[in-house]
Amino acid sequence: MAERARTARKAPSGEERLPPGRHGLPRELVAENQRERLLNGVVEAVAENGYNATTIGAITEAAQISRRTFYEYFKDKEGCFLAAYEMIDTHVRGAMLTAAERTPEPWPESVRASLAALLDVLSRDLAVARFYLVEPLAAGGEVAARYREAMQLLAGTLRPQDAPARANVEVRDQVLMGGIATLIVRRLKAGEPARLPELLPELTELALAPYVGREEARAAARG
Amino acid sequence: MQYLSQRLAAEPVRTRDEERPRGAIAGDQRERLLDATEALIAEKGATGTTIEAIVKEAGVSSVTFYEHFRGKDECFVAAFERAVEELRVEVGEAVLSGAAWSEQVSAGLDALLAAIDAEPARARLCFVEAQRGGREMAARYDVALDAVAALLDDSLGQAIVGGLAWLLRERLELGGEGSVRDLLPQMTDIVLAPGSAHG
Repeated sequence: MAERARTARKAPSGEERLPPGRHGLPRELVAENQRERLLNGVVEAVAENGYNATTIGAITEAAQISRRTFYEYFKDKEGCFLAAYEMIDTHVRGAMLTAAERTPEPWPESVRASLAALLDVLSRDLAVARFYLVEPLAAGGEVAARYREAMQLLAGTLRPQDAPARANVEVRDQVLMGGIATLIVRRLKAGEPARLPELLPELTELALAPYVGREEARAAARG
Repeated sequence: MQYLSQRLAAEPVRTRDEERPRGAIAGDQRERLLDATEALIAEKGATGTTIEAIVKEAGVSSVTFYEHFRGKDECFVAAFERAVEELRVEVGEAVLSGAAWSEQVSAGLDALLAAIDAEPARARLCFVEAQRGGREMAARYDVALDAVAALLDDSLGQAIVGGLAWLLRERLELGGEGSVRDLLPQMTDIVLAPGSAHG
């Protein structure tokens, strides 16, 4: 029991925990802290068990938060997963857009910068990367729908601003995101997140080819 | 048959199964189990398919199930492998009918799309549920895609094949019952993109 209590007091994965008792923090800040801990908890729990086998108990244990508190924030596991997904997606896409804005011209360079940012973010944290790209495939339902939407938005950031409205843009986007996700997921499954940046030339060539042709795309991709 | 003695002396009426060698019965049972698995996964998804439902659908006992498979995941993998092998044969035949590379690509993709239309349950297993039926099936899915990618002999082969499989999955999940044949021109274009290894 004593052992259990000691480990329970330890903050999960080095995250800051508020001291127990009256700490005089505004209510919203406490709430935000608990909610964030649950979001981190779901990422940890899913990394360990896979989405389908993850229980609310596993999430609350990883977050060191009571089940009762969990239900104050989320209706169910899916709700918690989606909230975490939202935060990761905003972060990933934000990083890509920021990188593209820093190198707005020429367009192939901005695509390259944007993809480099994607690979950089994902290479830092295997659990986050798996949560973002691997687990939703197994989940289905609302989670898969949200994932699909995220991938479409991501493909949108890689398209030239003045791309002619072509009828086949949707198919092109899907094949592009499928290709990008396939290459990244393979590296993640092999447990090699640190090697993700090596994929930059391939991903860049893939993204540019539909608009500039393979030869030019390859040249731009090799930088 | 008039007399009881005749009746008792008569050769037993053989059932169809008894006339066959034992291996064939077992083979039939296995096929029935795989047919049932394929149909159920298409209907309820890999996560919603139980051994109980599989044996019921196949009309065999659960003892028989365990004679063939150690568990659900192994049965899923066997169903997946069978489906992929059938697709491989159909697509392979079509590819051989073409002379030039571009003809082979287009004929192979056309055969693939035709096979998907003809057997939607099998297609669902191969493209949609393969990644939801456990790690082993997901690994086999990757192996199957890699085999196709190797044929393309293109530095982006893995990404292109992964992308096309993704496109098919999206269509099968969201596109309802409609045909997938309309994707042929675009899929062919993507494989034969100018500047690719064979372009």
